[in-house]
Parts: sequence; structure tokens; C-alpha cells
Amino acid sequence: MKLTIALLTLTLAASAQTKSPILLELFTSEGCSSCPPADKLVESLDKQQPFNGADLIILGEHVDYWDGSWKDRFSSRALTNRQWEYAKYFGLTGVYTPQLVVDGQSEFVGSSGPDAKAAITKAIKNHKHPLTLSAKATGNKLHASVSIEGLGSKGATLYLALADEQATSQVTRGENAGRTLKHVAIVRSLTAVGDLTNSLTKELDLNLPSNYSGLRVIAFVQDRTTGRILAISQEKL
Amino acid sequence: MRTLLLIAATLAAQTPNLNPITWALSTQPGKLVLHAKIAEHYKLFSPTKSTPGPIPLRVKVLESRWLRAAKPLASTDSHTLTGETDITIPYTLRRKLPNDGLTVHVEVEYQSCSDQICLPITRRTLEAKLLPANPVL
Repeated sequence: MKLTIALLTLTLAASAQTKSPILLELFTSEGCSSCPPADKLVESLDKQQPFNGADLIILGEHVDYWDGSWKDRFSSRALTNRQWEYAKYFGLTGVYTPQLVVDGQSEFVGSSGPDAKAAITKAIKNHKHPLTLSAKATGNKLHASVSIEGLGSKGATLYLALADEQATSQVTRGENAGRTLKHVAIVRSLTAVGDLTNSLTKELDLNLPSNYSGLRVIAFVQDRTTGRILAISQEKL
Repeated sequence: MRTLLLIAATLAAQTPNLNPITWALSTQPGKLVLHAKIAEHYKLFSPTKSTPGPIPLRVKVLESRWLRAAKPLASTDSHTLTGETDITIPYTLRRKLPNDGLTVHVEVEYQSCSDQICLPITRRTLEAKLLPANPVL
């Protein structure tokens, strides 16, 4: 794959404003030869957090339709189904990898830095409702408390995601054979906690994923009609 | 003001083409010919290469009661197919065709990639009319 990595200079106005949490969902696969550049871009966004007004919250969602030659250990049919739900929201005739979805409102090729910049800049301007999240791990269990009030939505769903901080895979088969792939915020579970229109408080006990290395707990509320992310919060354990 | 650096791909992102391959099926004496028109920047994985990789093009003739189809042959020895290419499926007849011919259905299953994106498994069923004058017995 022909790809040139370069430095894109972003000049952002500094301000003392509160950072807006923005959800970046990368649909990716270890079996997809076009995906490693997108993984790198997302890793860079996660690490550098280069937008003054944004707190970028990443979810690496590994789909299963490239598992034919190399079984991506993080892939699941549920995440493929979630990508197809986005295809409906965006009026697409199909899905592809790598695809980056920003706040449920913009989608583009996941390795495109300029598209990411445009989508994040746009998302910063959208107001999000405050969402309270606390999480504590004990043994192999996670206790999470999530609360949101005054949403005023016509119909939304509260989700809770557990994601590995990072992971590395040595790929031995498929299009990426011989490559070492590094991922961040890899989704290990994504649970629809409940539906709401205005307020919701939930106490949850979940099993922790096996062999995780650093865990991110992400709660977010998504409008069921438009796909827009209305509220989001993240805790790192 | 402050300047921040973001590592980014410099390739201008193309609008993803989610249906980059156009198929046609035709018949010739003793063979079915699949014609694939593959959009610019995209590739299809050859049916004749079994090296580890994405799902190669799979071809299945549905009328196996009438036809004994051999393995498909690509027009190039490459691992990937690009541009316009033909895949030939030699066959022999198992029985005499009806006087008004036989509609043959060929199912193709494939994955494809561009230099920026990869697409999931796609299945298409194509058809062509096989007339008694065509076949090889």
C-alpha cells in the first residue's frame, strides 16, 4: 500500500474553554491491509490530543468480516453489526475498513488526517450533556455507576464500553502477514445499558475482560434516530 | 495561538466506492466467461491463488445437474486482479440441453481493496443463456 506519512501542522486557537468530549470510533481489522495507517492516526490522536477544545475518546471496534485469513482476536459480529447500523444512518450501501466515525455524525476513510481534523473541528461546536461516570475494578468484576439528567431526547440509548488501553499483535497470515500491529482503546465489550429520553441512573456490575492491560470504561448516550452522540464520559482504570 | 503536530496520511481521501466491481457473464463454446470491470485503485484477489490472504474470488456454477464446471482460470498469474479482466470457467455438459436453452447462474463471492479501504465479502449471482448450439458434449 502506497502511503506517505507526513506531518500535518494544525494551528489551533488557544482558549480556556472546557474541553468537549468527542467520540471517535475506528472500525478496523487486523486482516485488512489498508487499516494499519488508520490505527496509527488514531493512536496519534489519542496520545497527542491535539485539539484544544476537544477531549478525544477513542473506541477501536474490530469487525469480523476480514477474519477469513487471519482471525482478529478482538473482532466480533456485534461490532460489525454496529458498523452496519452506521451505514444506515449515513445512507451508505455498504461498510468498509478502516472507517472513522466522529460523534456518530461524520464518517470517512480512517487514515485521512484532513478528514479527521474537519470532523473533529465541527464536532467541537456541538454541545454535549454532562454524564457522570464512576468505575471501580475488584477482582474480575467491574462496578460502574452512570447518571445523566435533563437530556430532553426523543429516544436515546445509554452504552457502556470496556476497552483495552492498548495491545500489540504479531500477524502471521493474511494481507498483514509479518507486520506488528499496535492498537489503542480496543473494544472488548459494548453493552446497551438502557433506553432513555430525559434521565437515567444505572448501577452496573460487569465481568472484566480476560487478559486486559489497562482498561478504559466509556459511557455514552446515542440518539437512536440520528446516531448522534449526546453525552459521553471516560474513566481509566 | 499554538502549533500542534499531528501525524496524518497525506493521501487525499477518496470517497469510498462501495461497489467497485461490475460483473458480466457470457458463454462461449465449452466455457463460461466472467468479465470483471474493477474500478481504478481497486483490486480483486485471484481465484487461482491460494496463498494466505483475503478471501480469493470464489466461483460456483449453480446448475451442477447440467454442467460439470472445471476450476476457474484467471487471465493473469498475478495474486491480485485489476482493471478489466476475464475469468474463464471451462465446462462439459452432463446431459443434452433443452431445445430452448438453459439459463446458467454463476455465483461469485469475493473481497476487494483499494489503496485506502477494504470491503467485506460480497456475493453476486450472474446469469447467461446457454443455447444448444453452444455447448461441448
